Amino acid sequence: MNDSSAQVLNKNVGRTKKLKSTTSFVIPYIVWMALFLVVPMGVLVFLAITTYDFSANSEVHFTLSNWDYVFNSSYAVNVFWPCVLRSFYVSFIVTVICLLIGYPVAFFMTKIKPKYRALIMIFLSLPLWCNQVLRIVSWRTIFEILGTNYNEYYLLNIIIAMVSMYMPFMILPIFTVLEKLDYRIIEASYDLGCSKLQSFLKVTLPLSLGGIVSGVIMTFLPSLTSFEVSDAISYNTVLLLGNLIHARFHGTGGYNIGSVFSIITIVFTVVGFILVLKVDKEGETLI
Amino acid sequence: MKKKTVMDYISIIFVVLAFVIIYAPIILIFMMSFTSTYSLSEVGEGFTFKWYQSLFTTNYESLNIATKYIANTDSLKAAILNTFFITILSTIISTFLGTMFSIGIHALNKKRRTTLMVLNNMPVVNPDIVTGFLLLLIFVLFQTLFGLERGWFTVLLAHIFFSIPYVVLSVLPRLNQIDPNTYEAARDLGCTRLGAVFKAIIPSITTGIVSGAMFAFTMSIDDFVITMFVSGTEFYNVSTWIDSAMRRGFIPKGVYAYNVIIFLIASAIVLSNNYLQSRKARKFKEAV
Repeated sequence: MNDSSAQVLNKNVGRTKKLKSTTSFVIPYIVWMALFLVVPMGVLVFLAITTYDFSANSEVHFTLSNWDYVFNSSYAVNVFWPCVLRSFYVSFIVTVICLLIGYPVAFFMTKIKPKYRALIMIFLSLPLWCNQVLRIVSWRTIFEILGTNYNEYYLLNIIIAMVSMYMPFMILPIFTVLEKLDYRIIEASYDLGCSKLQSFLKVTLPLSLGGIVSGVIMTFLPSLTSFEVSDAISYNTVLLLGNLIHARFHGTGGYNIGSVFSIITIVFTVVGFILVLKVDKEGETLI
Repeated sequence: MKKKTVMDYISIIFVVLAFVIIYAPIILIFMMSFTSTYSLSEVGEGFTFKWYQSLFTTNYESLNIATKYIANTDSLKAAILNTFFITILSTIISTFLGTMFSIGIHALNKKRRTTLMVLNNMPVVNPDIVTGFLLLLIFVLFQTLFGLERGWFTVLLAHIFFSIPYVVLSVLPRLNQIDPNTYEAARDLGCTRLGAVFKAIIPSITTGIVSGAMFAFTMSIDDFVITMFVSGTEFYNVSTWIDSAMRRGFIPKGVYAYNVIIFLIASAIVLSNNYLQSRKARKFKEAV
């Protein structure tokens, strides 16, 4: 007891001493982050509530017309809402497929020798070294070979390509949690009369929930906001949320509506991460 | 030897399925890089190395860093050089800055540290498309205010921006592990402030710095979305070059060869590193 409190004290002394010495290193970082993150956020909000146009250097009129256009016009009915629904539908399916395949893979990885575990981990992360755009283009070629590269199949093709791209992000966090799981707890459940299935459903699955939530977020959010997959696979005919933002960054007045879309996307992201932090307070399964 | 159960076979099927889905496009990229024709019916026919050769036979006159002519191999070479230029510079700069910032963040009290970590993690959790759009806005603002055109410089700034948070996330856990007194000891022994940082802190966090640099390198070399937003119309890295070529409906096959080379080099480095690590661990075990 004495020992540990002495340690804590010691640590604190070290910290306060250092506080005077190296904290100044932080100042340039704050300036940097303010410049590239906080200021653009301000510009984003400003653009979303005005009709200001950079290229024309027009007058500033505060208005909610951008929001009205997105949520409450014929554009909203014909483009925006169908697009949001389609995005959620695609991301949902992608996430479910990744989870249904990814969880058993992560579970299997914990059962094998550490040497092979490391190898599987490596082979899951190596695809990151292959250019993502070229991987998407290659999927298109594969669909051409399979004879499914036309209208009716575009949505399915997009889902397959996304599953391929985001699957590692589902497997890795689940594996991280499962690997840390104390095997004695599972043994205890057997001793207490659980069958293998019961033990899995009542012990392993609840304990790996943190990894599942992280994996779901890390698959769901990228598929919700990606534009390059649908753009390449469907020749820009199937529009998702990301495509709406992408389309807005050319042309005049586009930035205002684009800002509204970006704010909506940020809201989705924040909600997603609040969900993760509810389950996984330390945030250790992220990244 | 344990007997294999039905469950084992099912697990193996799932692993194979996952790897087939993840690796299918990569296998196709390998095949495309070795076949001479563009037509699909002949994928796998006409084995050739000519796309690899085309990457190394340079026509210096047409090699222009500001790539204007898409869809030829020379512009691809320029895009590759651009990619390396940006990736190497941004890795070096962001690793240095990220390490310095981590040391600063580490020395803060808990409340301020948490605030700064929230700020640090924002670019990490933001979708690429939002980060790209935010950076585009600030660069458009710069353009209006100072006349800064978008090009290699804005791309470099953007890459440094999105790399630093990953470096901080790799270095900070290492800093938490070191003895807080080493820095003070170095100061007592006559080091200057910066001297103490470089002689006492940096050497004990090298593994964190290296993994941070690896992160920064991986993120930068493959980046598409953010680069596309901030690069303007005349600067291409490999990703935006492929995108641009794709929109014109013709992708020169040299880029497949380039990707195979990068993929093989990365695999070789990662696998040999893994081998060395496991051998080290085994030797350590034997010694104990």
